[in-house]
Amino acid sequence: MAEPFTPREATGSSEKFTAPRPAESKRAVNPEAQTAGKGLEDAIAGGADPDQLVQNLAGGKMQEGAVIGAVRRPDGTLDTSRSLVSHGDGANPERAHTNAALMVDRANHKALYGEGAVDTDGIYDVKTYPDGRWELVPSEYIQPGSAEQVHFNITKQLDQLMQSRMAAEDSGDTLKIQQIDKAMTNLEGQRGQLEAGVVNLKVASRIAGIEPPETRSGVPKDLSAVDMDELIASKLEMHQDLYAMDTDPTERAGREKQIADLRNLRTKLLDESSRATQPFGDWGERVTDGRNVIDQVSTGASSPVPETNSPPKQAETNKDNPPIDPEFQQIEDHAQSEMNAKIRNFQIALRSFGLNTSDLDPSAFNRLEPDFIKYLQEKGIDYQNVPGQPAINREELRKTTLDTAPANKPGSMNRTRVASDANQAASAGIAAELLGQYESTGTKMGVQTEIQKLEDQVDALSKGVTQVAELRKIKVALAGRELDVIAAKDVLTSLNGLIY
Amino acid sequence: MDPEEKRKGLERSIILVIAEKLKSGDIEIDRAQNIAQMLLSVLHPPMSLEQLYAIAPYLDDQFKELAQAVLPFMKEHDDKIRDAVAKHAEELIKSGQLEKATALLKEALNTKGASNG
Repeated sequence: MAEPFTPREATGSSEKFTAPRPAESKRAVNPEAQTAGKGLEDAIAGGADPDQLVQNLAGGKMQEGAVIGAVRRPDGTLDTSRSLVSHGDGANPERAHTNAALMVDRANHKALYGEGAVDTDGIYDVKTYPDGRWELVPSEYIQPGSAEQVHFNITKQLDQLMQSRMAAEDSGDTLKIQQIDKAMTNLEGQRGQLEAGVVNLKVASRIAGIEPPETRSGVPKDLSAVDMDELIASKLEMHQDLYAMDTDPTERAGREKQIADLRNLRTKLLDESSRATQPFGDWGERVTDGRNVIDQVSTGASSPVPETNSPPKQAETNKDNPPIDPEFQQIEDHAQSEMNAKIRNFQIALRSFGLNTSDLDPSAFNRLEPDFIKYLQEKGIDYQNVPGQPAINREELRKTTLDTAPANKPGSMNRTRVASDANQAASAGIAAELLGQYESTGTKMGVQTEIQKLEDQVDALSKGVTQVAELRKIKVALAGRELDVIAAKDVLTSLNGLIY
Repeated sequence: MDPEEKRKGLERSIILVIAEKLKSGDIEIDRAQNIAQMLLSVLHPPMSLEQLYAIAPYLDDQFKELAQAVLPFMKEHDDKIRDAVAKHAEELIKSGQLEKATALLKEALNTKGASNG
């Protein structure tokens, strides 16, 4: 008979309850392991059979391309009709330099797992032709401006380099092979960083010639100047290597432009960092490192790059160029001014409802709420559909006010009316969000925390901790869009995202 | 509770632990593979609940990282047993069967103590 009582203590020795071993020193995360881990998570989330997953893992299929679940779409839902394949992309040293083998590996995905099989990262698809040819194409789920797109572009460049390498092998051009290997190593490093999530997506996107995504979704918050600098440095190095190899005048002209753009970008970033009252960590030091890397780059005996390699040193930059780029300063000032005005309006709007921003009384809030909602309705704001916030559930209020409110259908807004009074609407929109938070938390602490956050952000803005790229985004959001609840929320989101 | 569902639930928890450790770099794929092989060797269906609860506590002997999945699994079981014993003992006490209640509680305690020891 089976034991009727099998508590944990009864079946194991006391060693089971000893404290965990001291954490081992963390190694760099293996991109393959990371990919596999993510794949497993997705597979579980997708309802994959755990028995099957255990069997795949035990059989070592994870490294060869195991079908481990469904494909995650950009909207977060899972497409279970497609296979999700984990592969050893870049992590296997034998394959890291043999991209052709990787491509064959990916082609095998299709052969092994059927048409439409994609990698765990959802980046690639293998398109095949009747004559047997095949090529890598971006997964249909790839998002413009996403890390995946940058990743794909890098991989395409690697593929092209591999083709060049094979041609160089055929012709016995060892110098060219060395140069290609160097360029590939650079690119693989960038790709590995992308996979490890340590590279700022916006920077990577910009360098890869892709418009950065509108939202901060998926963008690491720890924007690192070191990452920026290293990425630009390696990209510069790669272009210089390629420039040295290119013989086609058109190609060379394109490379020259890319090199010049990168140098300009780097110089601008240097200027920005030197202007900031709180410099970005060890920016200056690492920039020097990066510059040294570039200085050491061989530009090729036959085809020197037509400019000095190094961007000007920081001090020299300040000497040779105005310390503050007027254009950036103007954008920054403008955006700051606009944001401060919005926040002031928001605070005024709160006060107009009797809400003291420093001492909110829940009972006063409740008392004033009907008037507040009426105000929102008059402005044509669909207060019941503030995205991300719970609906205001006041049945009695709804009966007396909704029925009489014209053009106030759920899910819609009278944008014309909102636009006609943009500032108040924006303020009310933020206030509506706060109202939602107030409803959800039920404490005045929630509202006060939000207000405190805003006030902190105003302080932070005045201290110059912001970044021009962020300000520019907010400026666009403020100036180029109709201000409504959504826009106001965007502003709030942007404000929240400013400080890191 | 269906024993198979329970077993798969435990497997699922373990896979999530593996996934988390892989992502954070705490373990490499070969260790994940070893864990999976161990699971295959001990958690083969069909299993009764008794078998499952007898085996589960040993899963983290070799792979300490699995404690993260095993401990909650066993705690849930322990809590159920404890509640059942306590409820039964309470009923015995209320019905005046103090000796039986004492014996039951002693038996439960002895079972734990014997196994620990």
